[in-house]
Amino acid sequence: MNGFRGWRVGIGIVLAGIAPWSTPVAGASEANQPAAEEAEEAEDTFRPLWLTVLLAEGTDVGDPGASATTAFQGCAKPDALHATAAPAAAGSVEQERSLLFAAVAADVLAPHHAAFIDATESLVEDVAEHCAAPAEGNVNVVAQGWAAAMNAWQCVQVLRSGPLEENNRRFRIQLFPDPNEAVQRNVATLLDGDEAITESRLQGSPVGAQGLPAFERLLFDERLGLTDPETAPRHCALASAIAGNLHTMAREIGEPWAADGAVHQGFVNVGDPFTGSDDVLAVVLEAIHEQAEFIADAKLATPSAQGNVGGLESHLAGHSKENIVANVSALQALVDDEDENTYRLRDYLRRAHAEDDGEAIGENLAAALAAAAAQLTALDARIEDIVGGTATGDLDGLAEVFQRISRLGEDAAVAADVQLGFTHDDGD
Amino acid sequence: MLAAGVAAVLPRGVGGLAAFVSAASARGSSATRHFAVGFDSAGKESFRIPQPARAHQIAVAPDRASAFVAPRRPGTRGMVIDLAAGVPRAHCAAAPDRHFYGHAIYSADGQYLFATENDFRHGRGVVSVRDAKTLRVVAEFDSGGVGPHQLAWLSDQATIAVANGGILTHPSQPRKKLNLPTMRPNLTLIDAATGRLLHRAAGSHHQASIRHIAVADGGWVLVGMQYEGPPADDVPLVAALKPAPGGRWPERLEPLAIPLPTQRSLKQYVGSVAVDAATSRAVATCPRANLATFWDIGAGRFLAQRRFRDCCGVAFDAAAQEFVVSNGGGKIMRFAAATFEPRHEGTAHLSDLQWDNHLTAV
Repeated sequence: MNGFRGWRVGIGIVLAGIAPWSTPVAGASEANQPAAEEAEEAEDTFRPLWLTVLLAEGTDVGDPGASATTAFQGCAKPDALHATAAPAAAGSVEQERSLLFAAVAADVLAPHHAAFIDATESLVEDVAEHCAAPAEGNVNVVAQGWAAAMNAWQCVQVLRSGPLEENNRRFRIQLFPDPNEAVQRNVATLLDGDEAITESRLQGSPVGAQGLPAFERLLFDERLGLTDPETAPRHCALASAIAGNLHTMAREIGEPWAADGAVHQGFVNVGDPFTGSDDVLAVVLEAIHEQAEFIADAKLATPSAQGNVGGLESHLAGHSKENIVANVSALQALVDDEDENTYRLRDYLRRAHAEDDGEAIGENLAAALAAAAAQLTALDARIEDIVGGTATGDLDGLAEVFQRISRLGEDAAVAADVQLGFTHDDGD
Repeated sequence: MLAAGVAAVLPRGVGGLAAFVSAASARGSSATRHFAVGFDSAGKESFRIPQPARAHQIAVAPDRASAFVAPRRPGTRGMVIDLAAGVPRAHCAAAPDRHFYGHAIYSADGQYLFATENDFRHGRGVVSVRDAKTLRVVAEFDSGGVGPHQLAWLSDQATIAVANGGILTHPSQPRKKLNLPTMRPNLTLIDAATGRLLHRAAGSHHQASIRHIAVADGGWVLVGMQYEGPPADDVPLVAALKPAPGGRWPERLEPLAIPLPTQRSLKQYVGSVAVDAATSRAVATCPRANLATFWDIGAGRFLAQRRFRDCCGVAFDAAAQEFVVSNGGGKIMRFAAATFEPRHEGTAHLSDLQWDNHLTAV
């Protein structure tokens, strides 16, 4: 544990929300037929594998047709927030930036990364416990561990700089989008092979087999199984390797962001690997600008326009909405905090760039993020069901909110005279 | 077809000439105002000429009195500007069923202007040849591939190297790539006088789009690419085409080795390249990685990397022996050609502008 509060609340996914997909109802046991019938009424054709198992065991899981709900309470926070003693009057731009960098590093970046380390460590333990006796094990605990790790990752992934962007770690942790279904192919190749599956071998394997989507497939692809005595040994070996690999990468990414880590220190003190305070501030602003655009395009608009459930981020687990909820939490943590003793981007824009509409941009940014959070809360169906046409929901409107957030991130960069990326476009 | 000869050349700075030119856009989320901008060696703005749309690269005429502002794909209107007066001199439009691809070069005598264009009705890359004074098209030839982008003279000043990116596009879907699974980039060498294809070298990977090129004294062509395949693939993005002893050109580009951690940080994109022709030292800018990478293309070696956020435009300043690099934030950084160290005294910042992808020394 890293002394941060809140990280573990992220694992409390209500089980009915974990998965939509794909074990036919006919697979439910006769002994629990009444429960199965109720479920069938609520959800026409498909039922998650874990739900089938639970029904077979007579467990009360509530309404399986209910929308995905989650006890996720937001990205991790430290036990005690960084106290920013900002003077009443705004200081110089550089002084204000120093306040921002110290607070964001301590209150946001360090705890988010620490939570990812902890969540992946727990996943390693969950897999080990289950796989010690797969037939008797509780795969749902592993599923909860996966969901917690995914939530923690969603809080981390908003950053576009630092060790996350090195050595293909972003794609090794999560290959998304995956239009060529590399995850499915890469997992199948490993499972069909004869060589022992170890973490070190996995690290040399294609990225699609290495990360959270591969683990999701092990849990939720009905053709695979962590409980079937015949398949569990090899599947458990892969699950163990993936969990170990995720934990290794979480440490490689997260330890430099810990309070005494090199990247944390460079961020706070404007030193290596950053080339100036513009460079550091751009890390914060590009997280907002690029992540919001990524959510709008890759997580919402593209799969929605194509009616492609398989193009959603965590479609097997039915966790795509929860991922975005975590993203919003991470962005809100950068922009605003209700604690008046903290210092966030909104404070910086108001104090340092008032003459450039900084206050209005900060307010609009906070409001747009709140609107995104509210729309997600109001979305009473899974994104998978909306895209699949079995439920309704305004995904286009949600995507527009994220486009607005992205533009506001760019406006904030203009106000702060910081560059986010003008020369990146393909084809130039 | 084309006359030979070199026009009189003014020394840089004489007559108020800018030392560097670049396309740029005003900052802001709308960013609707676009310019051709000149600045001197200290980074002081010399002129700012409004453009009808976002431009890409500016080709300087050999007499250094004028330049052609090439529009960004899929732009159709180019402009000749007066570098001394800082005013527009002439306009031209692409022919029907054509659009520009963002790059152009003048002939050594300044009489002709060569530009890459898209014959989008037939999905064919072309090089248009215009009379540099009238801007009327006087000839046109196949670029030898699809999606031609940058073109450059070999040191003989008679052969044009063309980077055919291989990506098929159509202005009806302006930024959409239509053939990624089947794309076949190549580098062609074309006789400028006749348009005859002299050589076609295949790319180092069929999805590594050849975008940008620069030529060193040995006739070597440095190539910067963007990779259109899966994001985690380890595909080299810098390559060279080197004539073998006897002058024979190889059939395929030779990828240049780069440390794997750097390779993996580039996000599959090189934005621009420049060479110190005399020493074969070169820069490939990687804006998605916020890195300028330094190379010895003669030895085929990666030398160093320097962080510079959103850096892309790059030109070699022979007088100062420095590589001058611009970024999307309106900043200019100079790096010593020998040591690659940044020279902060050469830093300049036009904070209301975003420099576009290419910088040209006048």
